[in-house]
Amino acid sequence: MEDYEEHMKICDTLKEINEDEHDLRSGRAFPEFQLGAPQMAEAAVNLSNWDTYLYTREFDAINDNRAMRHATRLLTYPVTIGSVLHEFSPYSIAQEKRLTPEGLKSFSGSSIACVRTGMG
Amino acid sequence: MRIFVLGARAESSLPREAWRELAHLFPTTNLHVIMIGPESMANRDDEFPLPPRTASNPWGMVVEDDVWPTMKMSTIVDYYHTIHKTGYFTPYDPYFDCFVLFHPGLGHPASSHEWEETLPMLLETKIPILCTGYTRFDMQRDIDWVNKTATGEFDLLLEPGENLFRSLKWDLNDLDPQDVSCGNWGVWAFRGKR
Repeated sequence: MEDYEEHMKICDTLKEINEDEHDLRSGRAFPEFQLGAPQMAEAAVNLSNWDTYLYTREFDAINDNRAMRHATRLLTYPVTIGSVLHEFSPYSIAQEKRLTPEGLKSFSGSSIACVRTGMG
Repeated sequence: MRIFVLGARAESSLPREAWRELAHLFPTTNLHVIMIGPESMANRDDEFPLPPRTASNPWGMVVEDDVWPTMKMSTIVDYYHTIHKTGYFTPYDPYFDCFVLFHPGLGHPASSHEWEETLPMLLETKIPILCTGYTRFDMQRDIDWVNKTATGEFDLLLEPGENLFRSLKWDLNDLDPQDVSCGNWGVWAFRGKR
């Protein structure tokens, strides 16, 4: 069977999906869904990836892979938007960082908007 | 800053704590997230009936102004193109407004026709259009469709690729066990050419 390795990968993923779904319906308490408090003005959010994001936002979900899968399934919606619009966006015009010069123009407004203005 | 989420489905019923992350990311910005689409009240049965359409609220918009002191969320159960034609949201601010399309299926054979009338309107506003896709295939099909439908009429803002903030939980298509996807697998952005 030439695709044996691919097949095993799919099996692992299917198993993970199944276990995640069971866990979601288990009725246990879900501390990973207790979402974040306001960010302190002096502590910058790190938008490099989920690990740095959850860590700098002080989410408990960071400590467990399944909890992270559950939490990121919800957080992907707001954070995907935030990651593109934010002044600390991981996307930039540096090589292979995917932002185009036109993108830099369009998104500069929203990133200026989140520069601290003395509030907080 | 106004964020228009078009064709909103599951994302409109997310716990408000999740959406509040946006307020924490932009603590000094006033945010208005506006969910628009025929399915934008899915899984929100306890919020019915919808407000009546009146002169002061012509689209029967459900308004939540207590999401966070700096953040408001609204929901309109209608097609964006219908609202666009009335000029309800004008003027658009090309630097502070943004459209977001979560897995819109722009090029999907079942939903493509629903976006045909919308796309030129989105491009006309010149505000950024953020799109995601369930898989590389799903996203590429959308890109191909936009390329074909609006050749030369748009600028790419963010090169398509894997989303650093995709859902880490995989989902299975019950009808096809080979079809494994995840929320917002990929992301790209474009806008009408200036």
